[in-house]
Amino acid sequence: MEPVQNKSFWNASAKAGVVFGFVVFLVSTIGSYITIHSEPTGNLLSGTILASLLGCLVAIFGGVLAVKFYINEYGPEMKIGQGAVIGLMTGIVMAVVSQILALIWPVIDGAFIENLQAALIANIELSEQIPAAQKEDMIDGIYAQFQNFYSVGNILQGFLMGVVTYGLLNVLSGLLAAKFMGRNPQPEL
Amino acid sequence: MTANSDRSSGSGLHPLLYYVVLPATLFFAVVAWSPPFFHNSLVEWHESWQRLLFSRVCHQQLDRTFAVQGVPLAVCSRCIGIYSILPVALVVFSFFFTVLNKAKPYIVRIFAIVSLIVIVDGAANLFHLWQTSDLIRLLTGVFWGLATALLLVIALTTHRDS
Repeated sequence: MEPVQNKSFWNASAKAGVVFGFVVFLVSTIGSYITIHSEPTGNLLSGTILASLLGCLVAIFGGVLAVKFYINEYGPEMKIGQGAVIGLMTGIVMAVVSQILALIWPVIDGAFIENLQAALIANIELSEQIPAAQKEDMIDGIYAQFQNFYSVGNILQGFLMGVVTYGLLNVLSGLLAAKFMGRNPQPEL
Repeated sequence: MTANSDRSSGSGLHPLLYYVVLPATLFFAVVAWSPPFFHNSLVEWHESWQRLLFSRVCHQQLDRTFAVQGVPLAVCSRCIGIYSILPVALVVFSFFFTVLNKAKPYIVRIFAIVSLIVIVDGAANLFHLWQTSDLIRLLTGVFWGLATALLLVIALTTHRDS
């Protein structure tokens, strides 16, 4: 029997990471377009609610799919730790893919950033939860955030946040998938 | 720290629980609670790395988020229930892992049922079918956190069925 340690998980992690990186980007972008095309409600993050809810549910399944791919490739024998590593790598790939797509999209839709910025500011202006004295500062913050959209700092920050969030969530889903979909490796005689 | 073990049943807890899962859940809990202790206004909260970190997985709506002295936590009332209870429940349940493993089929069902309740309530709130209070959201989050901790502890018991 081939030793378990020699089985590469990269293929499974890369495939699942690309799929879920795309799905997470899609959900987030749809959420942004909902914000853009909705009447301002005064709710600071109104249009992203659906995206965040779905994003959370979707993001944790990356590790599960990667473990499924791994099992399809090598069979069900795997350790829980391998499931966790597969989940972590899948989360990292998801973060990279979704970040790259988020950077490319404003090039495809040239008005995307401007429209999203306008929609967010309209919501802040109508908000009853934000004290009037803080609204101006918050709007300035939104301007600065979008002006620095392509700065190295902003890109690295987005990538790092994605790695931590998706990486750790998928460690959990990966190990759970390894437990419930996998089987303990048989000791070699 | 060494993993708990039960020699009579030949089972123990995987070191992943202590070295990865517990620190990760503790990190999320501390970060979720931290904004009021580091920031003084909504503006600072909105630009904080804590809010940005959770923005991918939580809606962070101000009217559904607990605040301390006017500064919201990094996640909504439901999520704060999940993130707060998870590390505590992992530690507590890890002492009873042999008992919990005997109830494995029930735990999987409990997790499925609680997940369904959270999804239905979340969707109903989203589509304005009904609105639950922050306290109810917090409680559904706490129950989901408990169910997840149960699932993680039985997943991290090293003696596995084939």
